[in-house]
Amino acid sequence: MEKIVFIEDETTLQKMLSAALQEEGYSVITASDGEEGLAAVRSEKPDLVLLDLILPKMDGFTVLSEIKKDEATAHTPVIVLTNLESAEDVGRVVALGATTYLVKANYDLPDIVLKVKEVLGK
Amino acid sequence: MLSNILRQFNIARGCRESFNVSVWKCPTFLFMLMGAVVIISTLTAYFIASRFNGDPQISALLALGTAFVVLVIGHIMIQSFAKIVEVSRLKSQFLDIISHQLLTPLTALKWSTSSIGTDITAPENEKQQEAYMIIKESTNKMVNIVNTLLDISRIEAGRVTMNFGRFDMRESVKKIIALRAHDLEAKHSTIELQGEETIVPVLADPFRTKLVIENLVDNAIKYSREHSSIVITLRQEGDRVMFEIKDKGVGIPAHEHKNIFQKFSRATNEFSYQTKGLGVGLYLVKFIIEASGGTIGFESQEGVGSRFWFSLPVYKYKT
Repeated sequence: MEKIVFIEDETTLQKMLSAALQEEGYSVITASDGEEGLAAVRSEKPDLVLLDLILPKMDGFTVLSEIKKDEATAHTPVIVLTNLESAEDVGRVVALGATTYLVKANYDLPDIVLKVKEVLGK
Repeated sequence: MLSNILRQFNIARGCRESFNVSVWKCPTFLFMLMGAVVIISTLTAYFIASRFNGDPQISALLALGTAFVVLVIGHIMIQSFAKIVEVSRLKSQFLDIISHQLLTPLTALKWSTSSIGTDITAPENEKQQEAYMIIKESTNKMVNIVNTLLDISRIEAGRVTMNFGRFDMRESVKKIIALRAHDLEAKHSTIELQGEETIVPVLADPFRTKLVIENLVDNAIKYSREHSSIVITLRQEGDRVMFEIKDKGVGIPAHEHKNIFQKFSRATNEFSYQTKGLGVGLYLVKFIIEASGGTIGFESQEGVGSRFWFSLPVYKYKT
């Protein structure tokens, strides 16, 4: 079973997407702030990370660069899932090594699950 | 203290930071210029007067006094300008924050709607289906309004990123029409999609182009009379794909034509008090099409109807 760490501080969104992914047979570990999320990525060694950018304690940009800095997790694909959409944000995230960038409000739940499948090569 | 005084004199930077305009449009600079002009003309007057007889000192003093008064007034005006600009900046910022805040609950609404969609298709659930469609249509409308507001503030701040990709216009138009079922029913109107059954994809920002089509379709519905038909045509013209939407609505008065793509412009017509809108739709539509390398235009006659069209470049990359 493929493992996904989902870092999102909005509990409603966290619950909904986790449920949708679990239905598809993924094991989902959720985290509600940056520090907790980074710790989960380090200890769980997931196959994929779903990352929000605006997070308490440690923002998504920092989490992303920490993941990519650490050799043990550097190869893990990261999908950034946020409602920030400015040029600087997208540019920064891509430069930091995110696999892809999705604007939450523009996608329906099934579309996001599809993207996850795509990245995991299913 | 000294650095503060020095900063007061750095006009170019002040213009950029507080007014966000070029030096020649900046009130600070213009008032300085005005002052300089008055002083120079006074001195010139003094020299000219001193060559001829009379009492140059008195006339020069009078002129200098006038210049000083003008400068003081100018300074007061600058300060009030700065205040106004600051208020407007705060408003834009507030709008930006509100829009971002709205996106989170809207995302939740959108996601949860899409997750129940398949469970209520049974015929005995007709009422739920109806409610479900309304929730879905309204959520999409709200997401569009918020996205429009965010895009407007991005255009103003000069930080719009277009995310270009392959975009199937026909597919998108079909989906958009399907989501307007209730609006059309309420007006007893129809939308007909004409043109070739398959059309080549275009190179465009998919979400923003969708927003463009939605805006034009919504306008056509909004300004149509009851029991009328709207016709959309898609066709390829060389290396462009042309979208055209024709309505038999109230039309736009000739004197409003030049303002139609301006921000916050809404035509004054018989529907002014019946229709609602932000008045930024066409401003954004034009921006998106032009940023995609396309062209846009319209023809309209008051009382007869309108025809809006835009063209976008064909997607040329192999998939």
